[in-house]
Amino acid sequence: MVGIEPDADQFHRHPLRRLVAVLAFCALLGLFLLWRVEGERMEWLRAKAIDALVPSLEIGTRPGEIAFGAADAAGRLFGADERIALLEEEVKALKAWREYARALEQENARLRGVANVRSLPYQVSFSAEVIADTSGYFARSVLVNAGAANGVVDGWPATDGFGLVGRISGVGDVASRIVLLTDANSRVPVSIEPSGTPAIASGDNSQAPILELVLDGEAVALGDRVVTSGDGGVFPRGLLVGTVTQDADRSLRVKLAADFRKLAFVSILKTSEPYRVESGGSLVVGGQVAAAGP
Amino acid sequence: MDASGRKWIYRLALALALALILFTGLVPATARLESIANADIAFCLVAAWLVRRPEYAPLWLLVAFSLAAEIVYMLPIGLWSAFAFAAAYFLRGNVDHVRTLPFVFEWLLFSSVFLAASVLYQISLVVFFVDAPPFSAALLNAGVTALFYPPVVLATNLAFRLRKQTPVEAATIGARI
Repeated sequence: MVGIEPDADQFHRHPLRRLVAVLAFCALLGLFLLWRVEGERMEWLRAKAIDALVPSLEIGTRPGEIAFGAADAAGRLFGADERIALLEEEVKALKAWREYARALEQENARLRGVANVRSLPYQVSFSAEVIADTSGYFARSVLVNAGAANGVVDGWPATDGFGLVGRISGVGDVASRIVLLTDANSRVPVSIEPSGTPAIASGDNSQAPILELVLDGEAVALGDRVVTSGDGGVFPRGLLVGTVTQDADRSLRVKLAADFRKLAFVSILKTSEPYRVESGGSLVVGGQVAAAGP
Repeated sequence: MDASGRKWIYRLALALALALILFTGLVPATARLESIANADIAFCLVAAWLVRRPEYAPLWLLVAFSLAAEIVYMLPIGLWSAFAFAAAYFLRGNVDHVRTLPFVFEWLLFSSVFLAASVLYQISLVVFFVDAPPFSAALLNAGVTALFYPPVVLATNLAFRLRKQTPVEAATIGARI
C-alpha cells in the first residue's frame, strides 16, 4: 500500500494523514505566534533570508522587467513625433524657469547667509537600484540593493530625483526596505507652500496619500506644492513630496511628485546623526539586535 | 512514462509556475496592477490542480510557497500559510464530491472556502494586534480571487492538459498501482 495516493473519500479519514495535517497547521500557527512575540528576532531572520535571496531576486525579476520594458517601449513608439514636439515646447518653457530658479537660488543663499539659518543638513549618500517591489495589499514597500554594508541607517529618506519616495525601514547586510509614502503606515509631516500650512501626508495604500490635520484649509489651493516640513526630525525640511489635489470625496490628497510607476533607482539621503530614528523599522539589524540574534 | 515520473514532472511544473507568480509580483514595474496583484492567483492555481489531480499538487508545495511569499512580501510569517493550508486541505478532502459536479459548484466551493480563510485570517490579525488592511480590502481580495479562478482553471486545462479525473478513472488508477 505504500506510495498509493489514497482515494479522496478516505483522505480525511486516514488517521495518520489527518494527524500530520493538524500538526502542520499548528506548526504554522506556532510560527506566526513566534513572529508576533519575537518580532525583532524573526525580522532579523527575514532580513537574512532576503539578503540570501537578493541574487536570485535580481535574476528572477529580470525577465519580467525586460518584458514590461519592451511593452512600454512598444507603447512609446506610437505618437513619438507629437511627444517630441510637446517635450521641445516644455524644454523651452523650463529653460526660462531655470534662469528664474538660479536667480532665486542666489537670493536664497544670500538671505540664508544673512539670517544664519541652521537647517537640517543632508547629503545624497548614494543611489541604489530597486531590486524588488514587495507591495502586497498589505503594504507598499520596495527592496533596494544597499544595506548595512553600504552604511544605510534606518530612517533615512529616499527620493527618485523627482520627489520623496519614502524612508528606509529595515536594513539587511546587502538589501534594505523602503516603506513608500503610499503605505498605510506612512505619516510624513509636510508643509503646503506657499502658505506654509502644516499637515500630515498619510498613506492609505492608494496612489495619492491623504492630507490630514491641515491646519488652515482656507489657505490651501489645488496645485500647491507639498514639501516636507522637517517636523519630528525624520525627514529634512524642504524635500518635494508632490502637489495638492482633491479626490472624489473632496478631501485633500497629495499627487506624488516621485514616479512610483517607474521606480528603478532611488537616491538615499544621509541625514545627520541626531535625527536617527531610534525605534527603527521591522527589519532592524542594529548592533544590539544583531548581537542578540543567533 | 511511468506514473511516478509523470507525477514529479507535474509537481515541478507547478513549482515553476508558482515561482513565476512570485517573481512577477516582485518586478518593480508591476505593483501598479493593483486589483490584479491583490488576487491570490497562486492559491487559485494550487486549488485548480488540487481538484483535478491531487497527486500533482502536494500541500507541502503550497506551504513552502506561501512561506516564501510571506517572507519576501513582508507579511506576518506563518498566518496566511496556515489558513491557506487549511483551505487547501479542506478542498483536497472534497475532491470526490467536486469531481462529479458541474464546474459552477466547484467555483462556488472554491470561493466560499477562500472567503472563509480570508475572514479568519483578517480576524486573527485583529485579535493579535497586527496592523491589518481594512476589512473591505480583504473582501475585495477574496472577490477578485474568486473571479480569477475560472481563467486559471481554463489556463491549466489548456497549458497543462489537466482535466478532472472521472471517478472511474480514479478507481482504475487506484487499482492499477
